Amino acid sequence: MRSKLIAATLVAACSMFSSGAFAAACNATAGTVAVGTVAGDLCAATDQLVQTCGDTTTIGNARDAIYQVQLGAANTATFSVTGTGFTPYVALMNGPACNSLNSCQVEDIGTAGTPLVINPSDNLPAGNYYLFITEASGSAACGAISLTTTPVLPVSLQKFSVE
Amino acid sequence: MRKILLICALAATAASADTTLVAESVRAPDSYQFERTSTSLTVTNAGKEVVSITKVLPLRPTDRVVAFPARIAAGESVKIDVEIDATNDVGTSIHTFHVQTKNAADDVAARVAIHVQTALDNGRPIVDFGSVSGTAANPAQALFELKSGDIPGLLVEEILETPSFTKASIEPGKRSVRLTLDKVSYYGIHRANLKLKLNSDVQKQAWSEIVADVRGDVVPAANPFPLDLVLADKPNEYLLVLRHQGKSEFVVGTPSFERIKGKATVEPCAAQSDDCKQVRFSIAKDNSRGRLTGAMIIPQGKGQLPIKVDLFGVMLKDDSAIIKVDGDKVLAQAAQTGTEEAKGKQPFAAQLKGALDTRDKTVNLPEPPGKGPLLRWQAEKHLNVHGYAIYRASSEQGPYERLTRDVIAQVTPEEGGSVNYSWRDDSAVSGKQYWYYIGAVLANGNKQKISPPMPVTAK
Repeated sequence: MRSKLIAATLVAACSMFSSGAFAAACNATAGTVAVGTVAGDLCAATDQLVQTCGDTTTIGNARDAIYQVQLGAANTATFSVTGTGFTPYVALMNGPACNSLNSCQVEDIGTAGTPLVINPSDNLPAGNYYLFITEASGSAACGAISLTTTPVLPVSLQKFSVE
Repeated sequence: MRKILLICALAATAASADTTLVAESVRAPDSYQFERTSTSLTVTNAGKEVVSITKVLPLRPTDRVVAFPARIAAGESVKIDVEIDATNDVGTSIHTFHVQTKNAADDVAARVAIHVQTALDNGRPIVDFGSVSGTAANPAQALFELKSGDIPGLLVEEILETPSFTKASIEPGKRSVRLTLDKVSYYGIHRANLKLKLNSDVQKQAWSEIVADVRGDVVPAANPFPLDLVLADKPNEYLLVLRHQGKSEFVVGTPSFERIKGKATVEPCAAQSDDCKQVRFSIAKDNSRGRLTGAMIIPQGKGQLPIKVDLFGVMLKDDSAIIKVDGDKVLAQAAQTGTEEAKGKQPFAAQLKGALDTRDKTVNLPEPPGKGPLLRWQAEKHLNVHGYAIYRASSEQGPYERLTRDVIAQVTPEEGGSVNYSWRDDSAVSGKQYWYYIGAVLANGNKQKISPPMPVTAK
C-alpha cells in the first residue's frame, strides 16, 4: 500500500514539474506508463534520413528516431506520438501497405507535449512498418518520445436525437 | 500571453538546438481533392544576425511558392506565401517547403498540414486487375465504380487521364468506367492513376489507382519484393526465385536497377530444376537514406519483354536508433484496457485519480439558432475521427445526401469527458418529413455511418 501511495505522489509531482529535480523520480515511474506505450529519446538518435515521404532533400541536422512496428496479422491501428521539447514530424513511411502511388504518405506534424495521432489506411497488411519521428523544422531540437499503438474501435455516438 | 508563450517556445528551441531560423508549422483549412489552397508559412529569425533567403523550394512539384522576403532581420518574423495542391491527397497530409539561405546551416523546413476530403466513399480507390497474363487472347478487364454517399447524383463526365497499360471507356449510366488491359512494355506490377472529370462543384475530379500484375512465362516469387530494413554497413544480400511456366525458352540476362543502386547476378536454383533460376542481388550502401523504392529489371531472351520487380524498404546508416515494437502484442494489450477487468488492473494512481475526479467533463457546444430540424449528438473523443457530417433523405431508404460540405470539427474534451454537438437544417421545408443520420469523417480520409437514420417533420 505504501509503495502505491508513493507512486501516486510521484505521478502527481511529475504532472506538476516536468524537469529538474523531479526528472529522475519521473523516470522511475516509467514502468507505469499506459499499456501499449513505448518510450524513446530523440536526443539519443542520430541524423539518419534523407528521403521522407516524397522529400529528397537533406534539411538541417535533425535527429531521426525510428520505430519498427511488426504486425503479424492485418490490423487497423493508430499511432499516437508525444514529443517533449521538440515539434514532432511523424511519418509512417514503409511497409506492405505503403507500396501504392497515393497511400503511403501517412504523416503529420504536432505540437510539443501534445499527442499527435497518425491514422494509416484501414486494415494494414501484416509486415514491418517504419515510423519516423523527427523535429518538424529540421533543427536539432530533441526530447523524450512516447509512442502508443492503439487498435481502432468502431466510432459510436453516446446519444443522437432530431427535433 | 500567447505571444509570450510562442516567444518562449521559439527561444527555448533556438537555445537548445543552436538554430537561427525557426519555422512554425501551419495547419491549413480543410480542402477537397483537386483543390488548391493558399496559406502562409511563418519563419522567425531567432539569431542575432540578418539571414538572407536565397530560395524557397516546394518538395512536391505541384506546390507553388508565391512570394518570400529576401532578408529576415534578427528577431523578425516573416510570412512566406505558398499554394498547396491537394489533388492526390486524402486525409491528413503534409506539404513541405525547404527554406534555403546563404548559409546552408541556417536552412529550415517549413511544413503545412492539411486535411483533404473526398466526395467518394473510398478515400483511396484502387482497381486491382490481380495477376493477369500479358499474352492472353482476350485481354483482362476491370471496372471502376463511382460510389458516393455524399452526392447521390455524382456522375463521370469525361476521362481525363488513362493509365498507359489500359484502355478506358465510360459505361452507360456514367457511374462506372470499364478498363481493358492494353499492351505493356514489361512484365510486372503496373500502377497508374485513372483521372475523371465529375459533374459536381463540390469535387470536380476524382482519381483511382489502377494496378495490374502482368505476367509472362517467367514469374518472380515475390513482386513487389520487400527489402525491409537495409543498413548501409551490412552486405544486404537477397535471393529472388524465378519460375518458368510456359513454352518459351527460359533465358534470363543480368538484371539492372531503377532508382536504387545495386548489383545482381543470375544463377541456377539450389534444387537444380530446369524451370527455376534465382537472382542473387545486393543493395549498395551509397543509396539515399530513408524511404527506398525502385525496381530491378530482369532482361529475358530475344522477343520477350523484360521483367520488372518492384523493390521497397528503408535504408539507414545503422540500426542504433531503431526501436522494435511488437505491434500484435501492444495492440492486444491496448484492446484489453477497455475491459472492466483491465480497468481494475490499472496503476493505483490512475484508479485513485479517476475515483477522486467526479467533475462533469461534458463540453456543451452552443446550439445554432433558427427553426429548422435540430440534430443533437453526444460523442467521446475518437482518435481516428477528424469530424462529423450530416446526411439527409426524404425517406428512410434514401438516397441520402451530405448536407455539410465542410466537416463539423471534432472537439477534444478533458480525458473521460464527452462533447454535446448540435446542427440545424435551415434548408428543410416546413411540414416535410426528413430522415437524418450522422457520419464520421476519419483522419485517414475514409467515412463511416455512425448513427441510425432518425425521422422528423420540419416545423
